[in-house]
Amino acid sequence: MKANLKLIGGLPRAEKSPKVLDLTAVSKVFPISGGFFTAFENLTFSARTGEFLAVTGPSGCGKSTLLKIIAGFLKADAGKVLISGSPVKGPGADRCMVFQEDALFPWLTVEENVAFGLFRRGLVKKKIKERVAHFLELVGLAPFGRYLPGEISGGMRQRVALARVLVLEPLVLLMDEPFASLDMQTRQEMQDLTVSLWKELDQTIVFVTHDVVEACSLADRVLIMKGAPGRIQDDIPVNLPRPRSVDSPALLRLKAKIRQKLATGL
Amino acid sequence: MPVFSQSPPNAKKGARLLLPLALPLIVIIAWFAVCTLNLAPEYLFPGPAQVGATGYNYIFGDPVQGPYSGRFLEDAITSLGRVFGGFLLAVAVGLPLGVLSGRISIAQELMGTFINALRAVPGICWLPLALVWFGIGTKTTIFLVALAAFFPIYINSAAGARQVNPLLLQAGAMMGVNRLRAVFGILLPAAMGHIVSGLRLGLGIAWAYLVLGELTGVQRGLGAVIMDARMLGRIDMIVVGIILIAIMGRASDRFLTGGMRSLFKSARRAP
Ligand SMILES: Nc1ncnc2c1ncn2[C@@H]1O[C@H](COP(=O)(O)OP(=O)(O)OP(=O)(O)O)[C@@H](O)[C@H]1O
Ligand SMILES: [Mg+2]
Repeated sequence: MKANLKLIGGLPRAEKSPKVLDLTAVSKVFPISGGFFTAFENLTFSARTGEFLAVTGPSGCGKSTLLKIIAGFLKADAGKVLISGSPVKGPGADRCMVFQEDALFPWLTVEENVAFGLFRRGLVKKKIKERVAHFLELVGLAPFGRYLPGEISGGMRQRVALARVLVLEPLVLLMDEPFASLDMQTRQEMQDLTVSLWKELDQTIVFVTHDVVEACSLADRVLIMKGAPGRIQDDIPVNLPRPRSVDSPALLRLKAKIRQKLATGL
Repeated sequence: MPVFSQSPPNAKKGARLLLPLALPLIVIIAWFAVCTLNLAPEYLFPGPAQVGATGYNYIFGDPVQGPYSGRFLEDAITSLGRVFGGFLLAVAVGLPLGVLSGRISIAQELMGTFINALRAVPGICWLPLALVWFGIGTKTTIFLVALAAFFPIYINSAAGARQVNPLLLQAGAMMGVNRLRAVFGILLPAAMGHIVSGLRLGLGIAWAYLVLGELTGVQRGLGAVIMDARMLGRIDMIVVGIILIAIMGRASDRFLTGGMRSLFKSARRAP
């Protein structure tokens, strides 16, 4: 079923599904000492259910700020941010973020961290336990449930961070350079994990990254942002079949094209 | 399955447990030496044997034997009541106010100057006022203890609440926690290291001010015994009082940290 959807007319599977994320003319201005700083202005884009969107661009063009606005941690100064048609009013479990930095609760075990968001939902203890165990299994951390975040590696902590938001089944998963601090090998593993979970759970993902190869190998579409003040310079579909090899000629061509755009701003 | 590393061998662990006793032992040996060499007159500098005997009598003696015999239990209970009464009062006020002013800038602006000005006043200055207000006795002592313990608790709770990584609170918000759970499930645990430090400092200073409060001429309590012994010229009893206060102060600190650890994961699993 899924496979069929994916292959219709050679289009990515998300092309026909409804818009889950819809931004129109969004601007963000920060008050700074002695004036204002426009982080970005007039951003318009949308993502359809099940779409994997990558956002890339130079440092300081407002990628993190954009994610924080979608997550509801920051308010847009102009424009509309809609989630499944209704405006974002604040943070909520329908949009979850995997932060670039470590944001696990250090006093809770891996299990307790993953269970944290579930307690509110009126689930019985046993159900919670099962769900937590299932998602720890998915991210490959089943034996580490009772460890504390301080006792596991950085890559494992990012997997916990992923598990604790996946378990809430958010409509939109926001990932802010989640693997930037990992070594190549772990990074590759995490990327593969992300894609396989995304296929399995049918999530919509907005994935911010500096790494053009990462963007091309993961996403259905790559948004290229340009700096100061930030805006969307280009929106490039990635019509490559999965699984993708990072040194396939098609991917390398795409990478070169995006690098070119980033460098010249054309 | 993950492999657990072995804990250090038992012999080594035992030796480590004895380490804190090394310094007291050295002090006692030196004390013996000073006394056997007759470096100081006995009535100013009683020897360990005499202090030991006095201490034994104070703790286990029959109350009819002498002025201090067998009084320890009652004195200790009285003093503990005052220390913990004052300390708990300080926690009840200092902790919430500290957390508030650590998180809310209006609260900080409102209270900060006032509290810091009060803090600049040496605790002993309150003694005359407390005596006028509350008279000699338990109320004055509790007032002094609470006042003194308040500041370290307030300041450390505020610092702890202020330095909580905002990312943790954002993570909580995105997972849909409400205000109450954000405070009790994230803010306080994340500030726990500072909070425990503040409580320990507060409890330590509580003992200091206990003695101050009891020196004013109350009937019972460890401080009262010391004051009483001074007037009767019983240096040995003063030394016993000092040693007992040191032991109880240390024990109550252990009790506090142990209690916090058993009650709160965040105190137990400090990174
Ligand atoms: N709270 C703030 N106050 C003032 N300026 C801010 C604030 N947050 C971000 N900015 C500014 O907005 C711009 C965009 O920041 P943002 O963190 O979104 O960039 P980014 O694209 O994520 O960069 P990077 O790739 O380095 O993470 C930056 O120039 C930054 O200085
Ligand atoms: Mg960023």
